[in-house]
Amino acid sequence: MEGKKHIIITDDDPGIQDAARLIFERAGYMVTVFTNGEPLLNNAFELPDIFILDKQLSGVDGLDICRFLKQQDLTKHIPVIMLSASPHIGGLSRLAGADGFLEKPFKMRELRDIVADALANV
Amino acid sequence: MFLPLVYPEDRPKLIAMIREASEKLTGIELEFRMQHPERGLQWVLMRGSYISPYDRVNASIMGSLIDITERKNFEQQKDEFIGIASHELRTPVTSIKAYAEVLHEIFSEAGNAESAALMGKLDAQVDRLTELIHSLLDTTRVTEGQLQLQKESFNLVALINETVEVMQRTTNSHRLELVHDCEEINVSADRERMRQVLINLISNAIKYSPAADQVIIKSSMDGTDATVCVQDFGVGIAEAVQPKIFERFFRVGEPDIATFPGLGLGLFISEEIVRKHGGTIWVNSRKGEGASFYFKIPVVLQKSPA
Repeated sequence: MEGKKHIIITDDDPGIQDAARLIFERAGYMVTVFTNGEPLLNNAFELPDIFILDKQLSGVDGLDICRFLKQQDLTKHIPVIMLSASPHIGGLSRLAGADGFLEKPFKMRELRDIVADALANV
Repeated sequence: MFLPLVYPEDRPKLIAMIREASEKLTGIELEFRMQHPERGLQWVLMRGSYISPYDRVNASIMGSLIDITERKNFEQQKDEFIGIASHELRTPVTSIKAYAEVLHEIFSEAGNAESAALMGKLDAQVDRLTELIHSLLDTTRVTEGQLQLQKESFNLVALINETVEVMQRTTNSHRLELVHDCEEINVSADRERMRQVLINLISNAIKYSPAADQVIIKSSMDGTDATVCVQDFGVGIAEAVQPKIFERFFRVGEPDIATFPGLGLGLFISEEIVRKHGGTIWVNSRKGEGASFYFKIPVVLQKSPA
């Protein structure tokens, strides 16, 4: 839709998918949800303004997907925010080229703020 | 001597304990690993007394060695379970929190103050659950030696002021007073972990002084170290249990104190954080006379002008 920022959220947990869609649609974003990393690795998506990516996806490490997105010309300029329950997500995200991270559990307010900051810095 | 059978990593602490026992004629109690010829690496508990004749010649240790391998394996499994459970709890708690936040917003926007207030209370309880999960996870990181620090240079006094300001908003019952010897104490430390230690000590001070209305937070510097003290005027800690209060899951077992909520992890984690910074943490207290918790960490030394 005209004027709405587009977020692609990739997380295999239905609760996080649903809650994140709810939060961001209420905040005026357009939201696409993927349950695994395949569409991202196959470039089977409409280019978003930002990616939110869980580290622990079924069968794939989200950090590998982050590295992939940050290496290809098509997507390297698009911010990536990593989510994880791992305590090391900060350092690992930086190494993978992510633009931000949040350790679970987090407040949705925090996720909204980190997304807004990342979009403002583009 | 059986020293060649002792696991090499554990030999220094065993030797140090035996040496101390011989100097002070004290008892010995230590857990360490030994290499069994058939069963491989085993955990043992050694308890003994140093027996020294009058002329200190031909001294010996009399005691026992107990195989505690099974207990240690069980403890390790328990720790692993706590780590896995805490890790798995994080995702559903995140979702619960999100729904609570959205419902709070919806009710507030619709002018339904009562429902919004209830959702606010739900949200606060989820925050409490989140803190418990963080504590459990931190505990497993400590026991596995995985607590990592991200150090940066900052003014410790500013961090204390900031933390106290936030915590004052959470308590109406206690006045948090600041006493600083100087305005700036530069440290190289993990800011968030230091904040965690401050929050733990201040929240304990509030919790264990329900009849008092004041907690004093002091900072000072002696040239090489910064010292922070959190003083309360509450129930105090009996001297007999003071050596145990930094142990994991330790909670004072006295009837008048046992009902205070908590898992008994805060001081355990705080001690590890301070220790990893090269510092020390200790308490001065008497039962019924409040408690002063201190921690000391190295400061960033200023270079002398040329």
